Amino acid sequence: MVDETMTRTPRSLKHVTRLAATVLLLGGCHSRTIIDEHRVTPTFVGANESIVVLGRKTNSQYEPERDFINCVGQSLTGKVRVIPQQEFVDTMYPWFEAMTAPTNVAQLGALLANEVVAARIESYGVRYIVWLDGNTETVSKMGSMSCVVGPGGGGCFGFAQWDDEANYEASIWDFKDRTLSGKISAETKGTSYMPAVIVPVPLLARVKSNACHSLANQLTSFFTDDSQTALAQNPAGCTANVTTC
Amino acid sequence: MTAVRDRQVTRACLSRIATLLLLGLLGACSRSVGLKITAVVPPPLIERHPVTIGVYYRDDFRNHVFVENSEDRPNWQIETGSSQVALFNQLLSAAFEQVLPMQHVYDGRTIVKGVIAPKIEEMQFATPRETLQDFYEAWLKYTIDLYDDQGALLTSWQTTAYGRSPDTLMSTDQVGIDAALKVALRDAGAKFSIGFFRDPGVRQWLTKQ
Repeated sequence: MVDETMTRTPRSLKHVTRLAATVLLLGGCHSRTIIDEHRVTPTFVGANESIVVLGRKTNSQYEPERDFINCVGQSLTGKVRVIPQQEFVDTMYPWFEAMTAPTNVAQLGALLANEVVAARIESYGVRYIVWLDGNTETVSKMGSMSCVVGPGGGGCFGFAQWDDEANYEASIWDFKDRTLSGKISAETKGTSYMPAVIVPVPLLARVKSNACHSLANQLTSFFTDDSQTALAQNPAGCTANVTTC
Repeated sequence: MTAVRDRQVTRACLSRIATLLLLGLLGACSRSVGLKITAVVPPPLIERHPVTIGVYYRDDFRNHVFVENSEDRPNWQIETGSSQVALFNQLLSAAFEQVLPMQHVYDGRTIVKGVIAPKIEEMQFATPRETLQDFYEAWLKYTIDLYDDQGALLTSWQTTAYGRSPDTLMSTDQVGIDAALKVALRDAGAKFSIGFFRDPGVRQWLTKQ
């Protein structure tokens, strides 16, 4: 019995040490997200209505990454009906290309004055457009790492650390009312580490992914908030029994 | 014996992996470009005009090839002719009731109320190596001539299309240019579908039909 205990203790100690190291390392790479929501009008997505999530493309040095747009769209799927970006842009070609897409709500009215476009939007059942703008970038880097490869093998030594910042803004346009329904912004900051003793171990802060999920959660609540949907369905505060409000 | 054989097998595997990696790296470093663009652009959602027009593709348009052989761009040969013809066939079919192919800008057919003849004025590219940006770029400059039913030039509408594609890990100039050019062709289609019909000369001609 004594021998068994003696053999068990170091093993459990090893496990505890490994666990502690893992927790410390994972705790080390962290990210923090700040969400800001500005609602202009109540929102309501009807049973036959859908939303579309689009990246705001400009000819500047960056445009929202396709994977980020897809991530937000996929995170919303199941909660509201979402039309995939490429499908919508192809169906509406050439009206939602980089240089032709409306840049503000006022231009939406002009676009929908085109009967062909209005009919296609109507048949699609698009109620809201979510325009995403922003990007993720590395703002600072520290540390150094060197890798060596030789006939006998190779390895890396050193420590690297970098800070990522993700800034995205979602503008929600109401196709039916041709108004701006609201804006949601997500700002995520995170620090990633990469210690290397022979093998580099990346401890990533997953900044873009966290920004995507935080933004998607806020958008879900924006579209499914019961008090807001009730207000959107019944803007003057009418009750079912009242015929004129 | 088994250990020795295992070591030999491992060495052989490692040597194959190293060879593949080396070939991959050499491929990534290759700067020659030999491309035939096959762009697919969606049919445009535009108003169809109840007019029969003719389309005249000049030989240099129909068989358009971008050729360059310099130190920075060795053996670049980019064929876009068939894609250009396919693009304009699609755009014109969406914009007009009937589109007839022409051998000249005028052939005496009375059904043809006007003839459209596109022309590529210029084609330019930029690689991440040249611009130090992390994307490939392509520009296409077009002139679209519109002739009346007697073959007289009514208007020449010009536009420049732009396309960009990100530079990815292990990407080659060939892959990057191909992607950027496809975006540029899509942009050209969008600009033609909207811009051409806003040209005063084109509008005036359309109101007469």
